[in-house]
Amino acid sequence: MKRTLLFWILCIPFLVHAQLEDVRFTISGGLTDPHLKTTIEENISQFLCACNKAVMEGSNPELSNTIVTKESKKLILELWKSSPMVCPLSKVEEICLNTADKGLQIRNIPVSIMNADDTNKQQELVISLTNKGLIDNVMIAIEENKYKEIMSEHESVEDLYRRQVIIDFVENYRTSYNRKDIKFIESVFSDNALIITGKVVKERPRSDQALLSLGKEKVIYQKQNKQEYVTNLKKVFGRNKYMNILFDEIEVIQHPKYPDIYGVTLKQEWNADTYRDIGFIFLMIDFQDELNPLIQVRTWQPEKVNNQALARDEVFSLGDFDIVRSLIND
Amino acid sequence: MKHNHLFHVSHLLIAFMLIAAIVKGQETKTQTIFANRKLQELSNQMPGLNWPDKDTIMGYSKLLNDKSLIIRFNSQQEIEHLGISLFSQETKVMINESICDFLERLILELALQKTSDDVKRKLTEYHIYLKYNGYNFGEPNNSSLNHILRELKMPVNFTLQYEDKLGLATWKIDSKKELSILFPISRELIDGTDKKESDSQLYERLILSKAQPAPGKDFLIDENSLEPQGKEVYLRKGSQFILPVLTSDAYFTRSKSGYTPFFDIDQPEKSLCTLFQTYAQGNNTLLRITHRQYGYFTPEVEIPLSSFLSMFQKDFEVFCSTEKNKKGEWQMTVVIHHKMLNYIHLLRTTTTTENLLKDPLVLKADFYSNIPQHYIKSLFNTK
Repeated sequence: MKRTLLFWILCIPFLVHAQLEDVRFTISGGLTDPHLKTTIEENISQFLCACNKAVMEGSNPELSNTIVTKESKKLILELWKSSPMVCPLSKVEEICLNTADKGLQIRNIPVSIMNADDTNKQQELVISLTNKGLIDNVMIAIEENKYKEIMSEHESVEDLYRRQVIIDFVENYRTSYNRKDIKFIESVFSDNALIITGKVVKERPRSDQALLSLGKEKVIYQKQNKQEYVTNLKKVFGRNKYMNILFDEIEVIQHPKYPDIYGVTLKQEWNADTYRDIGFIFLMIDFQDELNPLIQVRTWQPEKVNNQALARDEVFSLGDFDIVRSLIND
Repeated sequence: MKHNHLFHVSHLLIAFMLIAAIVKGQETKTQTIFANRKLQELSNQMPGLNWPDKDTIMGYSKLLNDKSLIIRFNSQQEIEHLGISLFSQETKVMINESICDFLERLILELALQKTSDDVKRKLTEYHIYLKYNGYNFGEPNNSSLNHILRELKMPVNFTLQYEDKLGLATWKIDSKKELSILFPISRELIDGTDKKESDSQLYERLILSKAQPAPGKDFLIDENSLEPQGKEVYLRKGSQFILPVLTSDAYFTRSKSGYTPFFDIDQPEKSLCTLFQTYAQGNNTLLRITHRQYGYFTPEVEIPLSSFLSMFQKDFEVFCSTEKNKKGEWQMTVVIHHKMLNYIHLLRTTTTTENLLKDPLVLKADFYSNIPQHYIKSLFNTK
């Protein structure tokens, strides 16, 4: 990042007069196939040059189907409406990364968003590519901390402190599963906690619908109380010597009416000796006693059903539960 | 007769105690302690190994002939590192010790897997890509870990790159062969310790640092970097963490002898934040910390501020914000951010203007540690 900033400091005074359209992109590592490497270098160089040319001419970038996919062309032109951009460097060098969906990705390409205010002008692009080297998506990758700065200009340090304590609580909660620390788990669930666990089952085909519903998956939700959940968890811990639970994509949401109530949604990867799954967890946490927060609701839903990702708005959230004060004050 | 019987019993007892002592002695001699669960789990997969009692690089029957096991102990005589030796100590210091240790431990863990499918499963679990000549592990041209390890002969051209949340280690074996490992940068994966272990290790370091001599002058002033802020007050602008008011800014005053860190009880916001940016005033300031560790374990420790700050000199950046709370006290929030592994320690202290006059200045603080940041998608949201 420091390196990029330095470049910016050097380059900005020359932006107006420089030969903006000439950008040469090279891959510094992460890819060994020389043909694919050349293809990607060419495609990204052409893309950046097209952006620079379009800004200078006040037009849309000309994107040939030999460098971008049809879908990404639409996305780029849509992005262009709000965020025309230039790459002010004549040489950009980055490594190529593999993505989970077997595609490729180049990150950290410095660009200047022409109609952004000064504080948000300098951004970085993430370019996703197909395994053939065609540009498949272009996103403005605002650096994580910078993104939060923009999003939270009006947030207070007090609020940040509270939310970081929540993340600390969530990390302790995750650690307790990996350590099979049932005592800790019992201590963080309210005695009145509502626990909902989703289970993916295959629907049994009815004869008249056999073809339509054959093998169709559906989620069955099971409601448990704390005691039932803990008893079942003990059995799971007993069956598995090794547990590695990972969290990702954590979102912290404060309840609009009850400021001590927070909703945390996250993606959970469950890795154990006998079983592996990925799902979404929702936790409703009562922070009335900040030093002893309590989980009032925990839900689990599968990441995918019928091979389709669960839509984010289908994941349980604060709005799905009525809060009864006496329950929270237990 | 009765005496005789007692004599026999006492002899038997002595003999039994002697045997027990010998057995216990042998147990004590061979008992090996591991600094964390991860290493203990690895050792469980290495039955029959005669564990040494000091730092060792040695052969191991489950590894290829030309590969050695590296074992390193900490000051408590616990094994703190276990892996396949890939780097010299000098190289580790030059590149990055914790990443090199991680790579050595990872390769050992993979080598101890029973089948290639198990290796693939481990890589998936850790979100790691192991590529050989461009092929991911498990693909037809890259399905044998032993084959890869056999190729990995020293010396070899090694590079380490960081990109956002990922690290890329590359061994260029020759002009045609290349091994690369793409891994997520997360503290737990790299250090091999979970929150309980890392909280506990940090507390031990706090106790040890208490007794360490306070570091000397630590700030170098580049006059060009200072912004005047009124009469003889200068701001060294730092960066910010999430919020514009949470910064690594520091203030200085100019005297005949040069610049000194700013401290004026009429301006507590500037003074308190500057306290956490240099060691200069830290010897007269004591932190009385309640360390809120995993499992509601809350030990306390009193430590000079300068000793506390010196623990985070390397790899971390310190951000502060001071504001008045509802009771009219000065409330300071300090975030200590690990720049590469992207986790924080969080400290909160409250004081009054009167307290600032006291010598030594004692600040009572709540301290949360090892809070990951890499997996946060959105921290601020109201729905």
